[in-house]
Amino acid sequence: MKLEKILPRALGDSDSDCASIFTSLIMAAHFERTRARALGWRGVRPCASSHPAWTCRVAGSDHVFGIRFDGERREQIPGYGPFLRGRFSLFIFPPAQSPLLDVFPLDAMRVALSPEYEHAVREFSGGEAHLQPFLLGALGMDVSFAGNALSLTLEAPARHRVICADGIAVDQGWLVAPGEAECDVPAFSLFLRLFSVLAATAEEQLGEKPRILLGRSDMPRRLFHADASMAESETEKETLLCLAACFGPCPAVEGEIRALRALPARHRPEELEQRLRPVLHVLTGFLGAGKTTFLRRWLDFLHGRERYTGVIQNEFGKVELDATLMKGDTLVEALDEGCVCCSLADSLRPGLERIISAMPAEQFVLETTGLANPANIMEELGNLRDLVTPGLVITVADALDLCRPGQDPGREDTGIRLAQLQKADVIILNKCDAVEAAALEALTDHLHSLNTRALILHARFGNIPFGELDAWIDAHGETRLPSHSPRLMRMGEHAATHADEGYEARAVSFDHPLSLPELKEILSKAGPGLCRAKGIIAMEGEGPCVIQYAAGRLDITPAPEEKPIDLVLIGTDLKG
Amino acid sequence: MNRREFLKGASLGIGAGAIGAMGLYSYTPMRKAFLPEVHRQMTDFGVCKSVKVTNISETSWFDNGVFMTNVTGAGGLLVDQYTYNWAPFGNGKGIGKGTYQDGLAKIKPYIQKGDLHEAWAIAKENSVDADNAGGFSCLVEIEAMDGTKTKYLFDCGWNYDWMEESFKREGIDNMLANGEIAGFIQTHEHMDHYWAFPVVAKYAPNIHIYTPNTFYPEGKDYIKAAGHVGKWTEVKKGLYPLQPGVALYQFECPIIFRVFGEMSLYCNVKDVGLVSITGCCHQGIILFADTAYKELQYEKDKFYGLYGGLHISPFDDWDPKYDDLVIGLKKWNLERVGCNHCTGLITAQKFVDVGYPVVKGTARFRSKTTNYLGNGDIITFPG
Repeated sequence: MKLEKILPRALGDSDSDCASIFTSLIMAAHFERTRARALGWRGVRPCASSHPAWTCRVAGSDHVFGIRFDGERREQIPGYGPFLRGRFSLFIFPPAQSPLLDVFPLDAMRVALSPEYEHAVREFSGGEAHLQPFLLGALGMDVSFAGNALSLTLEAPARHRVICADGIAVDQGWLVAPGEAECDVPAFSLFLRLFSVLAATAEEQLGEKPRILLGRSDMPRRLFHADASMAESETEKETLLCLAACFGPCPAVEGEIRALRALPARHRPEELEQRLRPVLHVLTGFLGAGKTTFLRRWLDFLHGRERYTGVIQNEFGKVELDATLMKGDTLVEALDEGCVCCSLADSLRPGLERIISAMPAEQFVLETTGLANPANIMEELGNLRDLVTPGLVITVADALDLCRPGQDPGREDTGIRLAQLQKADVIILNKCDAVEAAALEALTDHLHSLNTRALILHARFGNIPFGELDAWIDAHGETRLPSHSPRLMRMGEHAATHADEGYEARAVSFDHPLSLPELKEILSKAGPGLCRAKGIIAMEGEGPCVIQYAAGRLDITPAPEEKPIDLVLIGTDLKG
Repeated sequence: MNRREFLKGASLGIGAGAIGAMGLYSYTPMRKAFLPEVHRQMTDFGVCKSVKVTNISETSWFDNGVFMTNVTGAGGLLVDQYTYNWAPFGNGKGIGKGTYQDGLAKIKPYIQKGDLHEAWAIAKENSVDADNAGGFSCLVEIEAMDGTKTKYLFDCGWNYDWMEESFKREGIDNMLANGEIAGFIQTHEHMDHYWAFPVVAKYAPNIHIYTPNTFYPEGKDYIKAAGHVGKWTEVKKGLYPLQPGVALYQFECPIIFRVFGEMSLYCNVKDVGLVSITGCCHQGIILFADTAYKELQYEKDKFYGLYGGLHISPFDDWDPKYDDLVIGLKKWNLERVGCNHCTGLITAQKFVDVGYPVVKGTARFRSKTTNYLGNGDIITFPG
């Protein structure tokens, strides 16, 4: 056991070395999100405004746990030498609606039912008097000054039980009848998952298996009397349990001890959590809905957390505008002209192989053309399971386009658009800033009716709370996502492709800078079938500009590069 | 009686309620550890008049795609940074197969001669994607209450050539050579903040340097190998005052690429509030701000401004709707934000979109956006 693997300095620098060790353990576990999740971590929030404290969730449990560093002392332990003995208080905060609260202390339920509860738990720093009824256990940390031993110990009553000897009467009758329990919380078992995640984290970082010891001792049952006094029963006992994970030579836990073969309630990661293969998310959305904008924001979120993500892009029409805009953000593999859903199935595998070998990241995003039918892509992904695990199908929908004045929100529910919405696990309703609240609500309801299982998130400039995407995967697992459900076709039906719907792409180049009226005229002359236009062209007095046209909205912004890219017009029955 | 229904019906608040009035209070046996509410320590570390930060370079690397290819190719985020075969510690054996000792041996003779251009050229031949390396470094000027100005160099970047060029652009080389810079603060051991240290030592071998006391042996050795002969203060966990109104704070935390500990700089500006300067803020903005709140006494109890890279948190939040830097910062109501570097271009854009007081830059010298302070830009506190 080498403590330096966790804390690369000698003990004794501060009066909170155990807090430093705790911080180091959990931070290092979170370098790679996949590792953290495989260990069972489901989010941590540190706080230092009062005591060093943390709130967290772990797999298999709905509760938020609170951990507060209480202090540490140096102690000479006979036979073991000098040790630092740290202590942390452990809290459990069940959700307000959880039936578990019914067996918590009355005072805990009172706090949990108050509107401030959620905020109080979020801001938990361990010193709040009103949160003390949730304090139900303790974590001990013993560390040898020699740096060769560390133990973590969970201490909690098997049941935290208080008997109301005289009962608690209120106007309407007995709130707690005489002789009944005011609270009866299975404290030890509730903390087991948290403790096992912590011990498994230490095991991974120290690179050795701990000895697991379980200690059991009696403590007097507690009785509460009508005069608000507390007494200890002389005859009735409760059980105090103590579970220790010992790395190196550590002093034993107290009580009657037995050794366990493994950590109880240890998290066993599912295949998706282990990420044996990278995950491939599919990003779809009709022409001009804002896929690339959304993707750039998502990548910013992911890369800010060191969750490196490669991108495979496929554009309809011979244009590489999206790849140009993404340059420098991440590694981008551009697939050839055509659409991955119908003509590029053969180039997707080599493209994936290239990007995975160049950048063996944990996840990739396939940004499809606006005309791709995800139903066809999902089928294709089934054949690529040796390379990737299929992840979310995310469809970016254009609220502005779907709410154009005078049109029924369902007007575009045909063919590819419909498939994109129906096959999605997550629908990003983009450009929400550009539509009225009532229309947005009606549209959201309409999308819910089209796809009852998808998560619908409202976005402005492609921004959503990106953590919701992870939470959505967590909530469903790989197999229960809507996009992964078997595909049922009616007799004679086949999945729509853009060829069926007559979409075409046309590239136009210009030998002189365009004025705004000239550009507008070109778009107008293309006729009502024009869905999308994009490119980098020189604009009069502006220099090279990125042109983005969709849903009647034209955006012109300065280009990141001088090099022009043909203006590509995409639509049906293009004129001009 | 259903206790939930009863409690819902009672007049409740989070403070004293019906049950509290009954004298029913928690009596868990674990409460033997109950601690009284800790009050803010509010260390008085004095005041200064103003702070000026010159961004020497915030572009740690120039292409994120290339960088991520390096990281994933070498085995990921847990790999020791000295083994990636990044310049200047390349040994010619390819990605993920480098060592500090091999790499240093190839360039040490040139470092000792002060020929850093040649040292980098040798390193380039033996390293992966050396031209992608840039660096993070800024100059912090503190104006004391009596008007005296003190300069600190804050991190030194990565690429010898790029940092030499950037130093010359801002006149840092002369300031170092003339002894105008009082101290060199190395926030943490990451390559993009630290590996151009020979450029600092070349101009000012005697400069007083401050590092966390948790540098790994390679990082400690590099200080000597670069030719530094001056005073070296290894800062322990917690607060370390530098001068009235200015203090370092060392946060103990493990960081990717096998680095441990990061220091931030807190400045208490008279009649304005607290100004913080960070390298990357790997400890997370939540811990960073909470620590200042708990431990420091600052003017108007106001968290006024900050400069540098911003990591929100090393963790996922357990409530996904809060997993956002913009939300994380909202609580502090900052008045002047000079973010850049690892903050992310698009996060900066988002700050601007929601009306945060982000000071814009000029997008010069290979900085990519005007949305935040780029290379060669200056920010002052108060603004």
